[in-house]
Amino acid sequence: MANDLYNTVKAITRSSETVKAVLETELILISDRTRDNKSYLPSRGKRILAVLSHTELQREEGCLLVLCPRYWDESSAAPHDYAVEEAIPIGINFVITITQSRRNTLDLRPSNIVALSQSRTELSLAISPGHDSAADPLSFVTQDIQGLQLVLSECRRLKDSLMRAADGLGQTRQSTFAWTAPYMAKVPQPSILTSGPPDLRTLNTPLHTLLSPASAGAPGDEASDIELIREDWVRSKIREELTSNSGTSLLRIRVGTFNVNGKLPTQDLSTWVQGHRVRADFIPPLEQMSPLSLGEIARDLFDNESGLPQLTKPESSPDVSDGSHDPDILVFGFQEVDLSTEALLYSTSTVREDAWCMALFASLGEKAILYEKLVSKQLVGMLLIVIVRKSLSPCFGRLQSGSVGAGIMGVMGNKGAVALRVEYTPHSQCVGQRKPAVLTFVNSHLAAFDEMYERRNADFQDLSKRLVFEPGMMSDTSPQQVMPDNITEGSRSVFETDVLIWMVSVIGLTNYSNDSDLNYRINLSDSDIRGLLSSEPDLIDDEIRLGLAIRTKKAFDGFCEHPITHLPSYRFSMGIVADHRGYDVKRKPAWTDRILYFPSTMTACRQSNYTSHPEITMSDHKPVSAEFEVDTVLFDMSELNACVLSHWKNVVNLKSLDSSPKVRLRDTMVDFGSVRHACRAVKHIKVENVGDIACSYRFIGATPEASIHPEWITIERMTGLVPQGSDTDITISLFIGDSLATCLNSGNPELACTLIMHTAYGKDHFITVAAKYERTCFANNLEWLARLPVPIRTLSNVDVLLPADRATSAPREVMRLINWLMSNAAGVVGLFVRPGQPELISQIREVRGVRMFVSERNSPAISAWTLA
Amino acid sequence: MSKQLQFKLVLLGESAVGKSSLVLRFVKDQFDDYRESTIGAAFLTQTVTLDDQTTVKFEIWDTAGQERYKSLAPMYYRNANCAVVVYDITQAASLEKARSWIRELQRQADPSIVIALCGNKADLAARRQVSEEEAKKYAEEEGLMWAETSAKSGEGVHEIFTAIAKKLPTTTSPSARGGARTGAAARTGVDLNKQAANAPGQNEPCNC
Repeated sequence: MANDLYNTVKAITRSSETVKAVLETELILISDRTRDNKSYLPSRGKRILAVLSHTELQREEGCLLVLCPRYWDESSAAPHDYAVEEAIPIGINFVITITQSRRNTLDLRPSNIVALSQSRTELSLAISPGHDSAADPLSFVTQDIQGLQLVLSECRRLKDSLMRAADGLGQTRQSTFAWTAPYMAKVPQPSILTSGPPDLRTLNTPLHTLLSPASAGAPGDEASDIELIREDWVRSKIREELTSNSGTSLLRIRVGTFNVNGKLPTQDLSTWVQGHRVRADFIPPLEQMSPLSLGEIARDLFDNESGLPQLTKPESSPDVSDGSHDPDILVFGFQEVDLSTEALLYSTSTVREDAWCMALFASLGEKAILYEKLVSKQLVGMLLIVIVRKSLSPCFGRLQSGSVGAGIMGVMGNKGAVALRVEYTPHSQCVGQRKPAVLTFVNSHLAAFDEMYERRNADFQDLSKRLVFEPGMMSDTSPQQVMPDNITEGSRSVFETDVLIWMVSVIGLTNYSNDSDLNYRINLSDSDIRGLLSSEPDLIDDEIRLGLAIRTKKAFDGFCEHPITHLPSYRFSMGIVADHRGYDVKRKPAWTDRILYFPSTMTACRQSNYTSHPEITMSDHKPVSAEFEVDTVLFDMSELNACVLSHWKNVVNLKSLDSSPKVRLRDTMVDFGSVRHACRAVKHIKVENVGDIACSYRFIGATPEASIHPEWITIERMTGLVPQGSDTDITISLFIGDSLATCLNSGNPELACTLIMHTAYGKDHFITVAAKYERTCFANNLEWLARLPVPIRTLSNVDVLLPADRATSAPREVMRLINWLMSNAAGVVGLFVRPGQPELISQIREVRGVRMFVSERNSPAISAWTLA
Repeated sequence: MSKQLQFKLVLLGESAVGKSSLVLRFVKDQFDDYRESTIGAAFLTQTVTLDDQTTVKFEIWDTAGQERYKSLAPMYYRNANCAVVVYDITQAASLEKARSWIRELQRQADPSIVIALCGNKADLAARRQVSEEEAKKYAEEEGLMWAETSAKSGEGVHEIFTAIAKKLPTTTSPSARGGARTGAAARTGVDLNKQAANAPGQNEPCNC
């Protein structure tokens, strides 16, 4: 046992130090002594103490290391699973004290009772470094008396030797303990294991744009860069190795958003809640009927190629059995639940929430027994309810909620957002814990500002920044127990999740007469819209759809929205001033109620349905619903741990005092040879790590303003990491687009550039890239082409061009083509319509360049190309 | 209290004159008989302690000498406090190249840059093509520091870097990072000026 400990410590220490003593202990956390025993974490208490000695210039100095297990699963702890938590120099003021431990401090720990009963003696020791009197001494308990004795005697010996040395030299050489610095440095932890999912926005952003600014000769913030690069590298390794092996678990989520305009539920909501078509036994509400008759709904107005399976397949009989196509999670967002003024000032009872909740369950019909409410959150008029399938309810945990007001004065809750965060741990067939997937739902109610996009965009940015889940802000209605490892968390952004679904209801404050308000509305005059809507609405113009998407994208940058196939959800009139579809004649109909999601590279999220429910007429808005299928990857926790650690241990040291990173590039001169317009050329560069430590690299520009590479080059891995002794490939591809081809055709055809690959804490490597462009008759202007005296490929110098006044009347290439078309075009099937074969086209591009004869059978292809 | 200063130093010169070897000798006190041509720019650091306990940390950029990378050199001598322009005493052409580097530095680099001209490969004096007098005369005309070194034997290497450290302004360090250091420099400003004034005297070309 002691030998194991010794080896563990030895694996961590450098060769310049010797391990004098090791001791297994348990750390007594301050919180343990003051708080009750609930927060105690057995696995976090274990510590190894080690006394190191370092001899330099005939002086021996000592240091006490405190090692903690790096991960919570300590059963399989190998030497590299321990990390230095503290390194305490054994200086002149170093104090270590031993006391007989008091039993009652330990009896609080259930896990220790067994150990206690077996042990005869237990001693506690307190260590204070001395240089900082403000810090509490560290306290440990141990049962290993022999080990403790050795630790004590070593500490005493080292301290004495230091005092003697200090006396002898008369304090001239103050001990600096500089050699302990590497141990004091915080050992970074892979965040993939220690924290939740990363911010979706950064996950979807190319890494090199997130790194610190750097250029040749001016490396940026290397420490933060290597951390980002390393995280990314580990994540990509996990993706490569585990995602394909791990199964996925399908989660069906049905999401609804409804701006209820202060009403209480007075109608059957089953079409919105359940998504299937209205059944025959549907009882029309007593209130005013929808202007859209039921007959119209039955025509499946909105069904198009995107497919609305739930709507088109009528359910003949209610399926009370646990139907596999029923959603697993139901998420409903309401806006304007409470329009009363007093609701702004103090929170009212949950009467309205309860009413809506009851209405939801009532609308589930017989299936209501299969579901239960998991959690809800209300802020004034905004209410978010999450309902889950009972059979899955044990899978959900760590519920957190957040809310932010953005209404009156920018803080009141009449506008703003509420959010819920849920961790879903899929059931697993085999034993072993699964990595939970984090689902985040946001329900927001925003004012559409008339002035400008920027303003609204900034407001949205502000809202999404303020909308966070505070640590420990567990929802009050959470039936789950609080997981123990939330102690160290900071506040989390709503974007730190695997799945993010965002419901939004935006109310324009303007009258319809004000045409400047385009927010979330269609950019058409009112009469045009009504005309469009009154004609067959099964086609909503692509142009409108695109306009909507672009406008939405401006505010919700990075979010995705399923194409809208339903009619505008606002504003419906309850009174008489309505057009024949029920829209208020004073307001321009608008798609104000939307459901968006944020795509993730890690978790696939597919939307299968997006529709409004015009048959629900109780509000001036129509409810909107969407269905999602989420594939959560079934990462096995222990497998994930092992995989991450196996990679992590190779890359944990990216900076060393002893050696600098060394990589060798197999080829620093990349010559693409002759290259052609619109043909992609690819070269690989092998990067070998020949140093003693792992090395991270990134490509940088020559100057801070310069781009990293010219536009005709793309580098596949702009940042990366090469573990010690291994190698990686960097792919450089070259592509000459039309605009560059135009320049090169009439200019210097030599392409050259130098790429700079910077290795962290090391060298800038130069990679020269060269290519010779083969001129082509494509991508030229015709006037220039007409001045060519010789085939373009043989053009050696642009000076030989004919003067503009002596140019031929048309380029020969075009003339030849026209000639051919005049005589043969009639016989070619699909001319100009069918694209030519890619192979043939590239062949033709070649021959066009040297003006060779074009054979007849190639012609459809060439005509398709030239006229494209 | 001893001071810590930090300076950016760049090595320039024709290909194969021994820039990287010079740095390797200075930083690690090593020498490789066979060294690959530097393709890029290597970054190293080394600290020199002066007689008055001032420590000078050099952030050294060892650049590629090959002509094709010449366009990137300005990125590395930009903001440099000192430059070591190296020539090979056995290659007369390399001194010409050094002259052109010095002209470029005088024209384009920071005006306060300290330039040292360094004749490397002094161990190969038998094959000498550049006489000491010629180089020394040129250095005096241009107001440069000058020394001959041998990265192979180590002769003169540490001396020239120490001489540069002494010649650098000790009151302020443009590239010194962190407020603490600047504060320390400011407090002891008077003495240091004296030191700086003395520096040129101690700074006669090395004894080689």
